Amino acid sequence: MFGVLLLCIITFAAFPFVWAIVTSLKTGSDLFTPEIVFSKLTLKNYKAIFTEQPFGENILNSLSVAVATVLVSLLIAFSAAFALGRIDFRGKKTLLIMVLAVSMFPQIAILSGMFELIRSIGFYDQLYGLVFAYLALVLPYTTWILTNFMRQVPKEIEEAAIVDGASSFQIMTHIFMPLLLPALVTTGLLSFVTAWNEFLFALTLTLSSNMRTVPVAIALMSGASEFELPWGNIMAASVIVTLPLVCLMLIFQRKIISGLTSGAVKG
Amino acid sequence: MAKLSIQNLSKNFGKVEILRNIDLEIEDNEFVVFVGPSGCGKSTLLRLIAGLEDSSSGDILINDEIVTDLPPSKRGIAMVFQSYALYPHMTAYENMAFGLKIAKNSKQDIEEKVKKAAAILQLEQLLERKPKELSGGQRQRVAIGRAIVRNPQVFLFDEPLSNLDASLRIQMRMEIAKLKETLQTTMIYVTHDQTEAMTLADKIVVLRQGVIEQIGSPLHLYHHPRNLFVAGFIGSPSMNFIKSKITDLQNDHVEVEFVKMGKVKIPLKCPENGWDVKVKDSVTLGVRPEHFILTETGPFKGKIVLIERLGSETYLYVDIKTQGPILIRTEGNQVFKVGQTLHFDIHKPECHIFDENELSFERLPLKQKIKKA
Repeated sequence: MFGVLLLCIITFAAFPFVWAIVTSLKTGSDLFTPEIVFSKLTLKNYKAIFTEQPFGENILNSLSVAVATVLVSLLIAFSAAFALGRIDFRGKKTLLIMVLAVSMFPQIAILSGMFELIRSIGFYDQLYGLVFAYLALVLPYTTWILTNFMRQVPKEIEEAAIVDGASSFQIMTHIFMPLLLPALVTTGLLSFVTAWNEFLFALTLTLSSNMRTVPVAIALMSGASEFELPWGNIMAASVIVTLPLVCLMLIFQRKIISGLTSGAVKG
Repeated sequence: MAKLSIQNLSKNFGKVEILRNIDLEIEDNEFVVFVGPSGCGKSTLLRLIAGLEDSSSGDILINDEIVTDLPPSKRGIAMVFQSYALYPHMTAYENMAFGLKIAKNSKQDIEEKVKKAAAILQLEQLLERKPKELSGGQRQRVAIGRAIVRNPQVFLFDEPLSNLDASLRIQMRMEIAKLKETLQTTMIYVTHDQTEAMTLADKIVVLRQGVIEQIGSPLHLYHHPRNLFVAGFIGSPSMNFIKSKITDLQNDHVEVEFVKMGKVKIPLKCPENGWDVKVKDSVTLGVRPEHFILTETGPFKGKIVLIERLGSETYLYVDIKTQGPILIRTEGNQVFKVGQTLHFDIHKPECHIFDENELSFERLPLKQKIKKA
């Protein structure tokens, strides 16, 4: 019974991905003939997406935007979390609730405002414009998550470091940074996925095809005529962009562990 | 290597007064224990000395230098926390070396100091382990090691043993006592455990509700508690308090009657300008469980309501009909039954009398007991 249920869930979860892989390996009218035993598999689609358009460049764009977003957001969120999690000041609670509230805005609600802002500071159709926009998306939750992790570190550890003569900055870099490493990896990964998959801002804030990120590039792929959608190419591109995420998850899986402060204090 | 002086120190958290006008002198090489019930302000006082809290008023001086506004690291102190507070991502070695690294000591110097501290604490085999791979006692030793390497003028211990189990606590208590001999440094130790206070301290400071109740050597506090609170807090099991009335006042003793039970003459030193109490005033008679003498016939008697056998000694809870049962300590090998009537006397020179303001009357100096061979 449990096995059957498990099989159902696995099939349900994996089917779209399997279908995407299979489709990406077919061309022409084969696409639309369902079959159990796959024949006539070809890598033509994979070749096509790199030759018919600047898909390599798109991947590079996505990669640099995502990495920059992760680094900048972690830097800002970590410093903010240190203040919000470890230092008492007036209005802290209000600030935290505002941060949480901001993250609940639907993306579409800030789109037009973001567009105006980006254009007025001259970041339109630039990759760093995207990074800037994505920070607005990821900072609220990275700050919130890191603040919560920061709070879990026992106060005595910080006090021990103070007695040891460490400055606030040294406490951040020598104590909190390594202690929060798993949390940093987790939130960094979340930011990366957000930035990598983001479509709406990327579509609105870029114009030229060599500034596009991968999701936009895939969406805007067109076939030989306007009546044809190049399903094979789209699926090949989708598979390619999913792979890095899967790899990242596998690599950092072990870092995302609980019990990060075990042994620090009693117990 | 340091003496510490606290002058008129107060601490408020908002409107709540935690410490009130604390004055305290701590001599060089002294082992001072702050003791008191929870919430008495003893930990806050320690944190004020450490510099982890800011005082509301008053000054702290280390070696005649005002350190009240200096950060902890500039005060020449080192602190051992109740929860050890080791850095979990560092090995025992790195934990101990952290402060020195921050202070930019040379690698060689760091290694030398850490190795030395590790040798004192028998940690040599464990230096490469992370805190989570160490037992509670070992963690506490690393925490102490971290304090030692800083070569502080004043050691601060904040209830360092309260997270350990009983047998380990006794062992660590011994090690701290040894450490005190080895290091020859001023140490301040906070605990709520009066046994730790009695065994470790050169000087005990008893605190209650943010005020120092009494300062003195362990035995001084045991024999001459200033008031009812100190009398009840120092000594284990704690002193029996029996409501009584004065029936006679003489130059060298006070006679009190405990309600319905009988009279007892307690030798006390009469103040120079006479007794400030009168006959018929109510007082409290304080007798420690160990200062009862079992007799055949009396003069006092009570019914045993509960017996606690510890092997080496036996505690008898005896109902004397006036209030809750009193506790009497006896030898371990005598046989008693619940419900049995017990006759006993009181060792009068060891008794205490407290007036209505809970202050104790001065006792005559005890004659040194010389054991007859």
